[in-house]
Amino acid sequence: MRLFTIFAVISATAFGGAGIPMMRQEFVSRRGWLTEREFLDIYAVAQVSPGAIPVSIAVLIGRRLAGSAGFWVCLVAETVPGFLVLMVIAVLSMDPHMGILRSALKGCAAAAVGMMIGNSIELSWPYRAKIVDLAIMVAVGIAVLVFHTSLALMFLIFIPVSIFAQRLVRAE
Amino acid sequence: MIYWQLLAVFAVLSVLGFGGGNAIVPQMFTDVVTQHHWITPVEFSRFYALSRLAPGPAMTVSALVGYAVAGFSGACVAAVAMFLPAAVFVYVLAHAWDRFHDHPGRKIFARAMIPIVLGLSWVGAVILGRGALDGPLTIVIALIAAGAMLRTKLNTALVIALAGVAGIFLFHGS
Repeated sequence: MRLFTIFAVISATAFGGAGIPMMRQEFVSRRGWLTEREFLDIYAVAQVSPGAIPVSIAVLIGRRLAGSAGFWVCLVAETVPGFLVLMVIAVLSMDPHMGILRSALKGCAAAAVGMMIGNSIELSWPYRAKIVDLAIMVAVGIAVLVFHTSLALMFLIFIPVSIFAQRLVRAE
Repeated sequence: MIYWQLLAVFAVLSVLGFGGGNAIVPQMFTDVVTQHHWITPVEFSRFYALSRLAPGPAMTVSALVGYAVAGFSGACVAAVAMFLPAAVFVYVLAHAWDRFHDHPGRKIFARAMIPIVLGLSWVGAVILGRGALDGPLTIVIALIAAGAMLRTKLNTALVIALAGVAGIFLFHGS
């Protein structure tokens, strides 16, 4: 029950991707239900599996603290409140009489593109001098934009290539 | 039936969604815009922006697509399809993880995924840009937002909201 409340509050208020630091603070710093090491472990699993990372972390914390019941509680608590907030925004913004909101949305969409570019630059920056990583990034870009390769096929091709390339770099 | 189509599209994206939300943007665009014609490219960019405005991960854009296609029930179906398969996957993976805690393959896999996810993130920016940037004003907004991401620690939802206010002044009545 307390798990539900904690995640429901985080889900409804984690505007702009603030969820993960909030969880760390609640479970590690404030309540001490998880050690720093356990939290990092959970974070690592969330990173290598599909799905939104905050949701993965939530269900893994639930699993660690309360088994399969914890999984369901945390899944619902982490996704439903945010979903409801989004629905309210959606209903307002899709009203055809709200011309003013369409103008606002045009600005929002432009900013979202800029933030995605900024985010991509920031995350790519540490790899700017690594030829192997740059080559794979460019190859992925060409495959998807020019040849319209599906995501599944793209993973099937590039995961083995990338693993092989990383091993090669390490062996040197 | 439309609900089954929504379910099929987003459940596949769910289990392919490595590296968080942004890596699936290109494939989601292909599915919902190019293939099924559920929404236009411009709507896709706007839905993505809305999802960044609300709390929760960018993947909630699936719920907006579901809403546009089939109302509130469509949104529910799309959201469940987007989040449940991945959550079950991570739950099962965590069991395996406990057993193979320090397996070296894990590190190599995580490292190998980095350039792939980054490449997809750049592609996502290009695709969203095609739908959202239609003139010098929108490009300026995008550049300012990119700068804000790189140079400041402003909350992302706040940046989007400010851009919305700017949008009202710049585009309304023009």
